[in-house]
Amino acid sequence: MSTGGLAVAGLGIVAPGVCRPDDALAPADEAVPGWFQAGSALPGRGYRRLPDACKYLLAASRLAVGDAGDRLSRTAREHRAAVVAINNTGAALMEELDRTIMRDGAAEMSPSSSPYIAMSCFASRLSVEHGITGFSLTVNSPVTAGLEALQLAARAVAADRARTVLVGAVEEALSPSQATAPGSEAGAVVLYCESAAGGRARYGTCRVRSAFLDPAAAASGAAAVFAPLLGDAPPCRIDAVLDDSAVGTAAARWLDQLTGEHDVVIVPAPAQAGCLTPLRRVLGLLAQERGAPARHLVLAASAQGTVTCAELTLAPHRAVGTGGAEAPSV
Amino acid sequence: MSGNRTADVDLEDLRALIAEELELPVEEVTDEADLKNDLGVDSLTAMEVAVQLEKKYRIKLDEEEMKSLTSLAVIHRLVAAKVGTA
Amino acid sequence: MKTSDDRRVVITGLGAVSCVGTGVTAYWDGLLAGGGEPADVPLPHLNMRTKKMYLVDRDEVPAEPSRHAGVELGSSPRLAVAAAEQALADAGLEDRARPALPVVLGVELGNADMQETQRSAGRTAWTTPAPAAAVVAARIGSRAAVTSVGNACSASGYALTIASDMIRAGEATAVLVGGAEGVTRAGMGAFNRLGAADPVRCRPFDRNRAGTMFGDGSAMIVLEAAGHARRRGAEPYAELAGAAWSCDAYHQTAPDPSGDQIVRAMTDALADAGLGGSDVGCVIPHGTGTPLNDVVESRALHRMFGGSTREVPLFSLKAMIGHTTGAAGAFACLTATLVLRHRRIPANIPIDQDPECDVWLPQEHPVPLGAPAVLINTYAFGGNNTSLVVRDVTRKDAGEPR
Repeated sequence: MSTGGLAVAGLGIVAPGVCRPDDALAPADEAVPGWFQAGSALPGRGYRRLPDACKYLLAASRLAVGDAGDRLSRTAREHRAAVVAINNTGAALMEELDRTIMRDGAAEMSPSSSPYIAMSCFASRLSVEHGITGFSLTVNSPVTAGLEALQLAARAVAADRARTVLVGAVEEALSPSQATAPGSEAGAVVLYCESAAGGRARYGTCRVRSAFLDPAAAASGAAAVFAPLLGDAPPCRIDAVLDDSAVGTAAARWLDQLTGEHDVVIVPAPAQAGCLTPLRRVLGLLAQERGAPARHLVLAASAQGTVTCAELTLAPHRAVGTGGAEAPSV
Repeated sequence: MSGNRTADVDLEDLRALIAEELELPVEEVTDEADLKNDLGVDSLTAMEVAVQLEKKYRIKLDEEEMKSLTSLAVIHRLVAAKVGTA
Repeated sequence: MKTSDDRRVVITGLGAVSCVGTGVTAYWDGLLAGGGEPADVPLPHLNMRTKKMYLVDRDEVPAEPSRHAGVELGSSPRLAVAAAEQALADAGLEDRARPALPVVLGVELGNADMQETQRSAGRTAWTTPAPAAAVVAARIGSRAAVTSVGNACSASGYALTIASDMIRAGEATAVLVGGAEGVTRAGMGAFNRLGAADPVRCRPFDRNRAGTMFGDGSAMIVLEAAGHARRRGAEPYAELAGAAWSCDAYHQTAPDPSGDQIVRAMTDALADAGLGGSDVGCVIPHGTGTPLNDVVESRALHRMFGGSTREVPLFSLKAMIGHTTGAAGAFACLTATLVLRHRRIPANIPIDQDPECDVWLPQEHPVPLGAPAVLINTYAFGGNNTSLVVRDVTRKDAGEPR
């Protein structure tokens, strides 16, 4: 069930109200128009027609790669890879394209937007940007996909499919007609990851495990899923990203019994959750300045039943790297 | 009629439109620069250029005509001919 | 005890629903009979030139499950469940093995048909786009990792590799892996808009090809550690012997004309399998019918096989079942497994072959499989490439270590 470990050497985040990785633990701000300044985050030619979500991902990847120093440039192209988590990322754009078909016909679709009916296109531009020829992998699910991306990256590194992986999550706000409540996620998080076997981890290491809890039998099935998932000695500090679905409720109840020995923080996920919040939590924890190593667990569960937890070993370090300071101001 | 004008299509207007679509300074869009080989235009960007030409000059370009859009000078001749007969 | 035998990955269960019918026997018979025919897509507001796909007979699209966790389900998750049940029954895995069975699915446009139908009816609230993997997990009773891969047209090629890596790493002894796609207005519209939708049929390597044509359906495969299969007395169909990934890092939609990265994926997959070019008795190419893809892939095959390229038979699967996008890799793996089992390659659909695509597509009659392995390619927008090698297990004892 467990996959090999990853060491995190660079952090990048682009999200409303967030200037530096240290800010990532704050509650997510609503995306207001103009929150993202593409011109300063992505100067140069060839970005204008990209969907905004694509730009968030590219901007966050630049920050993570920059924060990792010269690591990427020292890595051969075929040893570079990307794993990108998405869920609602293409929702608003897909609706717009489909409405064009319904109203005016396919001939009126925007040529440069049309490829984004393929969800992997959000990650594709990343490979061009950073000369990634190892592989580019897209994983989709509500809530958990960001942590699943870490697990997929770790497995691929262990199988020698890459040495460096940009692990990201990207979301775009739902359109007003799609959203059932305010607060849909927007922004991107990218972690620059390498094999944990390679030596000292700058920000820390993580190991990820996944499981499935059938939403139709969430209460009765919870123990059989969560006990093995968390193991015998889970870290004392647990952040759980949960919604109020049957699965989220069952997870919260199961975690309740841990309190006393454990410090459990519930991070609410909206009903139409994207996959950004859990990976943002991981980034925020890794970014905090600390004097001694610490263990921390980030757990995420989705209404449809996927459950993933990332066990972090946070490394002692001073303030976050230069990449954070260069984050686009909002 | 100035040398820059054919029918109602001003060459400099056209140059500005293409420079805007290609995200390039206008001076790089010379009359004869090859869109694909000199200016790095890919198939999707070429389609976007065609969309803007159709919109601005109220013309329709078929698939063969789109493939023939290789340089500013060629585009100018084609658009002018289309506008002239419109 | 774990042995090297537990690192070998074998195929022990198969399931399929496609335009040629439900079940693996119907699928193979359908390929031998020349595949399916395009039909009109049953979606409203289909305002585009090319409106056809290779469609599963609507009577064979299961009605259940109709919902999962409050989300109304379109055809793709339902097709996935049907094919998954077939594959598990075929593998003969005991019910008590199901909770430990990870599910890895390649799904591209997931629940699109449900969302599009609702949109046409004025209902716009958004639900999760790709629920199929979770739906299958719930239906089969899995409590293990569930992964939904979104790598467009190579999604299930990636899914197969992930599943294989899970077994090789000892994370699981068996994995349910595959792909499923329904119909999609937005997807068809985009291919129409980009000039990549053939109005006639899917005709890869044909000089008149004008793009691809989609197909729906689901293919599911049970992968298993060879030692696990042997201990429970299961007879494997074939071995998934090698897999490799690469990325063009070239363009959003166009393939890198050099073909360097697809050659690397093929080379690495064969190396992973411990095989050489002369061990390949059949290639199931990505071959979509888009003009540039087929030329680039043909040239890459020449770089792989050199002077003997014209002696390696290709089976152009998409000409028979359409381009099943996220499920294409799973259908190719299913087909490779059946080719190995029956030791012959169905006759390709007759085409007017493009001389730029200088590859061998036997069209007269089925040809016998002349070497132990089948090579599969799956590619996608953004240059996301996978190559897989499926080989026979008939000539060696399932217990023989490698």
